[in-house]
Amino acid sequence: MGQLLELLGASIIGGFIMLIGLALNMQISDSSREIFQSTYNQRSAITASQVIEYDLYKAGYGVTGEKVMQADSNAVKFRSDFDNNGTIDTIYYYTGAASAMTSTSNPNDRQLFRKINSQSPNLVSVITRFNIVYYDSIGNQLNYSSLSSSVQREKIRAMRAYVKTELPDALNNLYSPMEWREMIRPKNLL
Amino acid sequence: MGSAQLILLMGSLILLVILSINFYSSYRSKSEIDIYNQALITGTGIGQSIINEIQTRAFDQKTITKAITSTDSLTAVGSLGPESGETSVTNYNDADDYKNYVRYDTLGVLAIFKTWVDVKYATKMNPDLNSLSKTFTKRIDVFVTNTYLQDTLKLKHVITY
Repeated sequence: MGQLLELLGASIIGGFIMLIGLALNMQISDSSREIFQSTYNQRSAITASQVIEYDLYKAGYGVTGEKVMQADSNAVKFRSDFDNNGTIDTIYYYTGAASAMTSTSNPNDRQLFRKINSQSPNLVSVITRFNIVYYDSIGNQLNYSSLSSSVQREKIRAMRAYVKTELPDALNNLYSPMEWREMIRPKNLL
Repeated sequence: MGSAQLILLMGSLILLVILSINFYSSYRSKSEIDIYNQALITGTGIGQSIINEIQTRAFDQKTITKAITSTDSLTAVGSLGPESGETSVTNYNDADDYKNYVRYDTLGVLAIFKTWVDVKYATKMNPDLNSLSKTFTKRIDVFVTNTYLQDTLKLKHVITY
C-alpha cells in the first residue's frame, strides 16, 4: 500500500514537472516567433522610411514644368531627374489593396509600391497605413480635393509622410503597431 | 522515497524554477527593448522633421537679404533666438530663431513626443565644440523625449554659411 501511494505521488509530481516544462517550451517558441515578427515589423517601417525619404527629397530636381503630378492622401506621383542623366523620371508611390495580402491574418496590411516611369512596380514594404499630407510655403495644409488642380499642386512645398506597420499575424491578440512620420521639404520645390 | 531520490527531485524542481525565472525576465526586457526601438524610430523621424524645417531657413538674420563676409555682422552669441515680432514658428526666418523652440507631436501608438531645439555657434573645425564667439558654423541640437524612450534622443546637425 505504501509503495502504491509513493508511486502515485511521484507520478503526480512528475506530471506537474512535465506540464511546467511543456508550458515553458511553448512560451519560448512563442517568444522567438514574436522576436522574429517584431524585428520584421521594425525593418518594414525602417525600409519604407528610408526609401520614401530618399525619393521625396529629390522631387522636382531638374524639372522645369509640372513637378508633382498627383497628390492624394495615399498616393503621390512626382517628377525628378532621379539619376541625374538629364532625363526626367516619374516616380509613383501607391498602396495595393488589403485584400491582396491573403497569406496574413492582419486585415489591414497592404503593399506599398514604388514605380519608376513605365517599369514594373517594386515592392517597398508591407504597411498598414501610408499617408501624405501636403503643405504650402507658409505651412498651411493643402486640401486633397484642391490638389486635383495642377495650379494648386504647384503650391506644394513640403510633404509629411506617415507610415504605419503592424505584425502580419496577431500575437496575444496584438498587432504591435509601429509608426514613422517625417516632414520632408524637397529643395527643388522650395 | 529514498533520500537520494528526494534530493534529485528537489534539484530538478529548483532548476526548473531558475529556468522559468530567467526566461520570464529576459522576455520582459525583450518587450521593453522592443517598445524602446519603436520609440527610437518614430522619434528620429520627428526630430529629423525639425532639422529639415530649420534647413530651409537662412543661416542668420543678417544673411536673409544680403551676403556678408565677416562674422562681425552676424547675430551676437547672446542674442541667438527669435527676433522681436517672431512670436510664432511661421515667422521664423533664420536658423537660430529655433533656439529653445519646443514642439509636441502626438501620434497614435506612442502618444506624445516632445521636441526641444537648441542652436549655438560652433567651432568650424570641431563642430561638436561650442564657440563663444560668432562663427560661420551653427550647430542645431534636437532633443526628443517620450515616455517609452529610456533616454533623451539627441540629433545634431551642423549648418555653415
